[in-house]
Amino acid sequence: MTADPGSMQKCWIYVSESTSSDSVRTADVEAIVEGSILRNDSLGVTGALLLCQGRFAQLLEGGRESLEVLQRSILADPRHRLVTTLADISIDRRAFGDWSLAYSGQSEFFAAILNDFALGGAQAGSAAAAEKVLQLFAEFARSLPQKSTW
Amino acid sequence: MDAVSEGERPVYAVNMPGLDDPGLRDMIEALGHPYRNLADADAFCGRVGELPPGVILIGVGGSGEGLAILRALRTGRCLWPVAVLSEAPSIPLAVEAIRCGAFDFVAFPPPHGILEAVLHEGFSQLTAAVEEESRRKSARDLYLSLSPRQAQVFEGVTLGLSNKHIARKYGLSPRTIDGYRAAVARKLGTKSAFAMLAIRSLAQSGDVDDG
Repeated sequence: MTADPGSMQKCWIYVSESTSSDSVRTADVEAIVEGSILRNDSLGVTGALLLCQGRFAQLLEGGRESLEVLQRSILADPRHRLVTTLADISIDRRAFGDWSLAYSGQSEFFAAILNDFALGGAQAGSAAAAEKVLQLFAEFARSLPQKSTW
Repeated sequence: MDAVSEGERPVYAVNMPGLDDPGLRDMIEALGHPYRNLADADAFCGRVGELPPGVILIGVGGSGEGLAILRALRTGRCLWPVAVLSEAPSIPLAVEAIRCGAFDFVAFPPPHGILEAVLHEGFSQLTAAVEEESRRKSARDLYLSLSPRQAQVFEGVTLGLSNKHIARKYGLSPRTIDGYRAAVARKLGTKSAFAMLAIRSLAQSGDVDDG
């Protein structure tokens, strides 16, 4: 993994909502994952994506310039809307060894966590709701292999 | 255990004494599924191959006790959809349950309407899970039908080795490898190295990585 030696590293976490009326379709998930793996690998970006009941949550970490490229692209992606930043911070070291789809499904438990950080809801952006999303990523970072086995 | 007729798609509740409640049973049965609450998880894991496919609910304690049942099912090559329910839900436990192969993690008692949604999702995944189990079993049966020498040649072919290379590795002549390779192709119904790789991959899916 390229670690951008000498340059500042950043971590960006956001939650967003699918523009598709249904949950994200399997074919769409495959396309998103395939495209993300290629793009993130070429940019030296690591992290994880969660897809649950029409909500996206993604953690991306990498060099400042690489993340800015990705941010622009993600903000302009018509497949989702209401991109809400949860954290956009400088980091000393990364949590993930590569980029992967950490979860894609209909889990009611995960949906509740993402919905608590509800886009436009009463709890929107509350510290407690944000903390739960951060903890979710921290757990996935802990449980996922640190290096890709591919 | 109550008998289940062929064609029925039951809900199996394992390790969840708290779920043996008539209201819950009625709710699940009203959805058209027989409900089986099983106290003996080991017996269930041992017999699961003989039971009609269904959705499994596993009760898990706050320290993850009960997740061993899910691991045992997956090690035993049962791919039926599993939802984990816990009276002490937490994010670490939820992530661990998903990593073990659960499709959902639910607080117990489940909030109103949640169990219906969970079962609906579970049954929507059941057919594909049973088909995948069957594909893996067919591939494994094919693989196990190979003699030890045929299995060595098969491994070599799937690693992309030439007949000459395989011959050198096992101290045999390339012509002998030709013969084994033809026998392997007959048994597997394909000469294609790519198709053989797919069979190997399916046959070994779900194996515990001991490497």
